[in-house]
Amino acid sequence: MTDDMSPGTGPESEALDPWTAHVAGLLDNPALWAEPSPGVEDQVVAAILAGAAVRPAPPARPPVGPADPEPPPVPLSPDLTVVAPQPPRPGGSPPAQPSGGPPAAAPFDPAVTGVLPPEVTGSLGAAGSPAIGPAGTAATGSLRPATPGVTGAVVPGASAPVVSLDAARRRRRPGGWLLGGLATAAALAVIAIGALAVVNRDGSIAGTEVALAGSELVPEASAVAHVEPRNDGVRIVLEVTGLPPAPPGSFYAAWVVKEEPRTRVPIGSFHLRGGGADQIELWSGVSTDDYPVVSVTRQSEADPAGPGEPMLRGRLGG
Amino acid sequence: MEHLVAGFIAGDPDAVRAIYQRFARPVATVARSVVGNDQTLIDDVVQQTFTKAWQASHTIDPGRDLAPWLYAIARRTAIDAVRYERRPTRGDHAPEADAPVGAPTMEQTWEAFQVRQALDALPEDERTVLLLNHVGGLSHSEIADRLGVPMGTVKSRSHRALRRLGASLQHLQNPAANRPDPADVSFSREVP
Repeated sequence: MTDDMSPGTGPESEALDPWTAHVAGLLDNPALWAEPSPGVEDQVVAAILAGAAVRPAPPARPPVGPADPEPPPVPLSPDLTVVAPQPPRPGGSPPAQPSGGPPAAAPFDPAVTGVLPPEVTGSLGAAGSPAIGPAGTAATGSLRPATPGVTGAVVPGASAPVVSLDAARRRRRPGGWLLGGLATAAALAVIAIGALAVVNRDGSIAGTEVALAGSELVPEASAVAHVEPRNDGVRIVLEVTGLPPAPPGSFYAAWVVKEEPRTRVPIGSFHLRGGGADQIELWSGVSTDDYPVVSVTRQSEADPAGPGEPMLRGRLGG
Repeated sequence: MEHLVAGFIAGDPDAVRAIYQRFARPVATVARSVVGNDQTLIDDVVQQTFTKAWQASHTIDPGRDLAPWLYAIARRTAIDAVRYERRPTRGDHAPEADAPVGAPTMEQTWEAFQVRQALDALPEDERTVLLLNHVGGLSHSEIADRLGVPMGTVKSRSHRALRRLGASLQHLQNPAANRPDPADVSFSREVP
């Protein structure tokens, strides 16, 4: 045996019995040293805690230990709080949230979901953003009433599945697979506000605003989609921030997407090469109730129907 | 452990954290084995695994070992994640087919899960030596320099760690025994 062991399975393993030497060889598998990122634990706890607040009591089982079937919500960390359940909005469920969703017990995880703190469930101001907490502002940009003349009140209980709004944390497909998974988490009542129902003064729904996060390709990009059902289709106005002009020979395509079966429908294309206001009007001929994800890809003109590169993505409640 | 599982089912934050801290790294190992070196996807799989586990937790018998059950959820979740990532997305509105996923076998990932559990059970100083050697690629003398301890200490820690691992993983020598108990979880939906 040498004094200096080479990396991996080294000379020292020769002194071990064959089985232990074999085990030593296994340790070169990098998967054995994989670690979840530090924030994942808080996400898991917040999700489960939120779900536990609204989950029906499980089937009776013999008591094991001093388990408390209704643990009080406990602040997880200085950055995590649980929003108290909101009563249903008088007048019934908003049509933008057809499923109604479970009671809005929203985990407040600004590092991940960019949800609104409880005080924001009152109303947004004219510009919206001042009333939004720092996390919401940072993650979503400003949230404005979808149409002039609306009060911009956030509907209590108008919850939506978790949308990751932290573009810096998310990868090439922010909310890509995660969104699919989070559709399941929605059943858990893992609720954050990724979409806000905007109501008129008379209480009718004027539209919904959806935050889109940038992919790994453009982590600094974000957008807010103002979604407004009209008689002739669904009008979607996209306000993008930080998305560079599409290079010549390429363009941006916007889609609404449903996940089962996975299908996407084009709602328009744009390029941003004119230095305009970065506000794009799009129209969908399919209901966003059925196609709840709004995404933007970069397409090559040589393969306009190809899969493209994911740029922005966000999800309506559904 | 039964108390923790009961707390997990009830959504008790302390119990959830305890279960997470106990199993998150083995779950990450399964995720890494299936999805590859994509940290964000690994994180997604870990998060999904625990939330799915909690969703289904009413089916848990608190007296049973959670490991095979969580393992199965992790593997399934990881495979689904890879399939989702590989789905072709076309503009013709045609439903997409699941992409084939050449995941490691169930035996391989279950073995990795258990090895990772054994690694996590090592004393921190011993695990650190193995980490620096097998992942960091450092020699014993380099590890000694890094940790500021004599090289003999590094060697003895490494040797002890490997012997502990070998002993705690003896059951893996019998492949037939190295399968999760079907009573713990159904593998009927496993990908070949």
